Amino acid sequence: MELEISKDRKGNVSVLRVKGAINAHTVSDFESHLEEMAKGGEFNILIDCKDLDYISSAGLGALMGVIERVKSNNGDIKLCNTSNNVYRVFDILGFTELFEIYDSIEKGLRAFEQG
Amino acid sequence: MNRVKDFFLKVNFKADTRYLTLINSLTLDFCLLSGFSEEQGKNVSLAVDEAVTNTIKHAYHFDSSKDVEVFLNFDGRKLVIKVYHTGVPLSPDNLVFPDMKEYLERYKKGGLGILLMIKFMDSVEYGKEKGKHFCKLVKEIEQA
Repeated sequence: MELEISKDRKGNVSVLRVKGAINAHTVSDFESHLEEMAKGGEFNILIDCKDLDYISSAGLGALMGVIERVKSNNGDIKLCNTSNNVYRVFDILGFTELFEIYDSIEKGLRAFEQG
Repeated sequence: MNRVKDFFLKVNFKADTRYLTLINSLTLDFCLLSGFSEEQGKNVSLAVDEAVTNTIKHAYHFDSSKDVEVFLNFDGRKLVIKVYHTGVPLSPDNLVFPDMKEYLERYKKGGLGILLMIKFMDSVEYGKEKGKHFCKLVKEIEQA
């Protein structure tokens, strides 16, 4: 169980699909995808966590590393399809205050449309 | 799954983050075998992932020639996990607990691992025995 990442574009939103685990070993891959998107001017990012088994603090750190730049460019990082245990990690640390989480990809995309 | 009482598992590996997912899976299976729910097991396995990560990062500074030992013991009531190392001791006195309000407002990074360990476990302790430093994580099973 490592990490597989794929990306596609839905309108003006970049959808990042993550599969496996985001931990201290795999985080550099996750981080470089986020960096690349921010550098390329992709500031509306929806992370589809349907196949994400778990995320550790390393993954949260990667999100914190780009969120300021994304928000200052009128963008956002939102998440969708989180499992209960992934949601719990965000919730228990208060990260749900900073990152909106939706229960489907459609709802996540709609949230970007509605600003 | 039938609960197994009073058993242990000892795993030795090099201080390399490539073993994190393996340790995570082993811990989850150990928890399930002990009778913990999947939710509790995933919380515990994440806490162990964080403890091992801290060991590799802060105790060994990513020197993968060094050894880490994870010892898991369930006595029918309580799960005790110890992550042993011989590197730089991690002292609770040196730990900085982030103020989450400020953390999120100022987009800070780092220091969340220990917080997750504390949130998901009943207790987190650091100590030394038999010439090795350890981080001890304890979780009591909820009685039905």
